[in-house]
Amino acid sequence: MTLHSEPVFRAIDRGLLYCASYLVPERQRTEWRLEWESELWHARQSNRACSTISWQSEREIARFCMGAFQDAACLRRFWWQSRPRSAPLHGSAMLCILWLGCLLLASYAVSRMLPRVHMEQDFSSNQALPGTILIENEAARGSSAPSMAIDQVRIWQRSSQRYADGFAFYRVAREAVEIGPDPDTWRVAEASSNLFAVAGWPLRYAAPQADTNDDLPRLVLSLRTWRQQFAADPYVVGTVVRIGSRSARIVGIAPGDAWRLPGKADAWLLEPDSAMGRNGLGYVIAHLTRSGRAAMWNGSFVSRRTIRENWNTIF
Amino acid sequence: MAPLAKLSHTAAMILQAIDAGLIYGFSIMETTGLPSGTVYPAMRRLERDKLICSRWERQSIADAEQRPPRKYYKLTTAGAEALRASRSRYPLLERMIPLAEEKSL
Repeated sequence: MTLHSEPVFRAIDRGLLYCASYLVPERQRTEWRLEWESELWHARQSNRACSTISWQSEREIARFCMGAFQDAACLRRFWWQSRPRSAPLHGSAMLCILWLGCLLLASYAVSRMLPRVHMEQDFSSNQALPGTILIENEAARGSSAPSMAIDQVRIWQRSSQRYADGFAFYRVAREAVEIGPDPDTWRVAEASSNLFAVAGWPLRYAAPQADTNDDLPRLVLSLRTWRQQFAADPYVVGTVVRIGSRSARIVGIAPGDAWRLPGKADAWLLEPDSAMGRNGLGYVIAHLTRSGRAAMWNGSFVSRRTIRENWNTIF
Repeated sequence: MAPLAKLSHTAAMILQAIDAGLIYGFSIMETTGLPSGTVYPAMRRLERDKLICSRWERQSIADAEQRPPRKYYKLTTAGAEALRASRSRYPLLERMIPLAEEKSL
């Protein structure tokens, strides 16, 4: 080794110490560097005293410098152990609030795992499917009066549609209902059997398909009717009630706050369109296809929710 | 302070070395044969436990000798007490690092 290489080794040793010093807590770093540089000087002097400059002595010095990392890590560990631990939180109102917050979060997480709660939450957040629109006749523009005939829906359903993939018709009438000793009168919406599918509202406590595979019309109760007339009894689903002159089987409960369409109803009597009488006007909802939605956004439709004019040409 | 019974052999050796007059890190290393990565952290622990204390040499002394100032260590009262207890626990301690006055005999 030549004398020229000595500054290189010095620089390497100092570099090692410099790197190790970044492990030392900042408050102690300057003093730590001074001590190690002093020790390094003595180590170098000692090695020079006992031998000429050699690889061996430089290796010894480098090994000495490597020990600085362990020393620095030791100081870092002390600092970590003695750092102020969130002491103000102990026994304080803040700690209490934190615990309560954690408890709330844990309770919420547990509640989300319960099937009924999950269903309830999904239920209350129901909105109409994107692209569900109400179709009304231009003559009825600006009023909530029913304006559509079932025949029009049948025509649309028979023809090939580009803008919509589902239509549902409903009309509301007062009907006598027998559910107890005293007869009652409900606003019953006679509706296409796909009404809730088109609107995208899942039924609550929906009866299994196998239980409702009979010829009876299917009846969906509004949440309010279910609570007021049946005391929110979930076992009412599947039972048969008398509506006017016919019997119907309750197949589920409608979402509580989802119904934003005209024609408030206490129950929906779902029937195939072919079984519905031609008399009486009602409301039509449709579910738009992607191109239907695009047409709506491009301004081909007058309103996002309602087609008020030229509905014959749109479909 | 850490319980005396738990003082390790390394810590006891360092205390003995300081008591023997080897009062800075590199000299302790040389005498005990322990590597720097063992000696310095052990000294930090001893200082933390108040068994030893340190002070910087005066700059004027270091300048006069044309070297950087050293950081010197010395035993505290608790350190001296701990060392006495350790000597009975590690009987060879004094033979490994004899005190200065014993060396001169």
